[in-house]
Amino acid sequence: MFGKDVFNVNHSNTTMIITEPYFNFTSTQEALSEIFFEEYDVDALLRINAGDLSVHKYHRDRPRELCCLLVECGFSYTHIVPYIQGKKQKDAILRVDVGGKVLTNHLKELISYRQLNVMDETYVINQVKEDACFVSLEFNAHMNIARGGKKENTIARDYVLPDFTTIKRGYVRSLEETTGKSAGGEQLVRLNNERFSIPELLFYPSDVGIQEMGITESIVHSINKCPEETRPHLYRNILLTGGNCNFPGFKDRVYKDVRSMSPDEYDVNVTLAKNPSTYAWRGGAAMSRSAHFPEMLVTKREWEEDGFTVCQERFSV
Amino acid sequence: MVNVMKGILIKCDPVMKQFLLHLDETLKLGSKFVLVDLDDCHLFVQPEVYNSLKMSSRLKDASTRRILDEGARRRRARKALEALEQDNFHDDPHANLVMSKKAPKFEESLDGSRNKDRKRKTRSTEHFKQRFRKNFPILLEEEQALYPEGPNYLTIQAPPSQLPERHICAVCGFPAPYTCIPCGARYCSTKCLSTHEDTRCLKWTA
Repeated sequence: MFGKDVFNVNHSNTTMIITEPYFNFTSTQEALSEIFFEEYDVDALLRINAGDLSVHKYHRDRPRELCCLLVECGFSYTHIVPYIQGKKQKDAILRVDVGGKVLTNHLKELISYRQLNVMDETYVINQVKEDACFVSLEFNAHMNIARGGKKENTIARDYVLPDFTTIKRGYVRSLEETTGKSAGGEQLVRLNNERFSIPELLFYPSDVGIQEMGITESIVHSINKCPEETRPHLYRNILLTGGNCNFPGFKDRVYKDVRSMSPDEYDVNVTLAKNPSTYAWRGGAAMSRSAHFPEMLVTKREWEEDGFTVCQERFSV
Repeated sequence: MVNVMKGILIKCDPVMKQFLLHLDETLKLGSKFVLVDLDDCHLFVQPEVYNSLKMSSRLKDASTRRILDEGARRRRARKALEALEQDNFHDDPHANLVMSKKAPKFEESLDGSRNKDRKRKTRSTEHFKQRFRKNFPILLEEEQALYPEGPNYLTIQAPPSQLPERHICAVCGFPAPYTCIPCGARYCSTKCLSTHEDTRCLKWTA
């Protein structure tokens, strides 16, 4: 990606920001730093959690807020991190081991078992997930609708799979066109309760046997680990980032569940990041222009003198 | 001459009687067991078949089938979870579809200098692989030793939920009130049960 064909980066005078998950392993951090300084030969490096970047952007957009509860719902897992005055509360961080990968794998498994073997078609199924799935606000009511016959069932849809000759990308048929029959011999997958029971795993990981709290329960649990005087601020500043937040209804569901689980004297306010997948990147871009940025970096010269210890001192990961 | 025979008198409705006669004729219980067909509602049968007739066939089937113990069930659940966690990165399989073979490909450079680059690069990744060869459990253990009282990677895992588990049919995905006796999977109707038994109960075929 950095090569001649795409960005054509000259590493030796580049400052690099690289993100890593919360509580990354020390040996991985060491390796990461070494690769960037020794192999890529970068001039200066900042190793940081992607969440720090998002929160930096959030506070920049709303300078009056004191705290922020970040929900980062990514590919491998979901992190819930309270930030108080820009500082993460390490004791209250929670990780739910459900992310986009699990959702795609689960959908792949369900379709393969119920209809058509698609175990090797991750790319296509990921598109199916992104096109057709939504977060249900009324799980049981939607289950009843999905169970209904042809007329009452407003949830079932046909998904036309791509054949890469005439149909380059799969698409969802609208409710009126959902007949279950293919007119021109295209391959169909019928999606019924899969449409909302897949994203449901984020809120109920126990549905597939992952014995952990769902996202909304974790939010409340995490806030309860924070000092009491910060809780109203945290409830007021819930920020959702990461690719899974693109599911329709995600924000409303988080609001509804958190509202019902939190004390009623607190205001609950949920913010969905504009373009959640790239929010952290934008935060990084904003951070690189801030006045404090040079103080956070480790330069090549410092690395040559002190090696990994200086990284450990400076990077707060 | 008097012929004495010990037997059991069965009283049932005519439909059931027909069914028993059918069982008798097709030797379902191993041999013929009806001694005398008395009338529409009464049969006189051999005493040995009493137990097999009395037991419902569903329970009988279940008791002869193998039932998975706790350990085996946990192993299966873990395997299913591992499958879910599996890496699934997949490039667009048709991104590089060649429409015309003569057109230069994106990653090909015209002066052929790319080959040299690649050689250097593969060697260096090999080098790093050798240097940092550790797998995930070893890394976890190291981390636990470094920060024993946390917070670390292990302690930030979300605790088990307070909410009751929901039961969802393993076949069709709708709410499921019943549990499969041998393997513990959930199902919602007899139709789903038979699908489950044919495909995924005790064996894994689909």
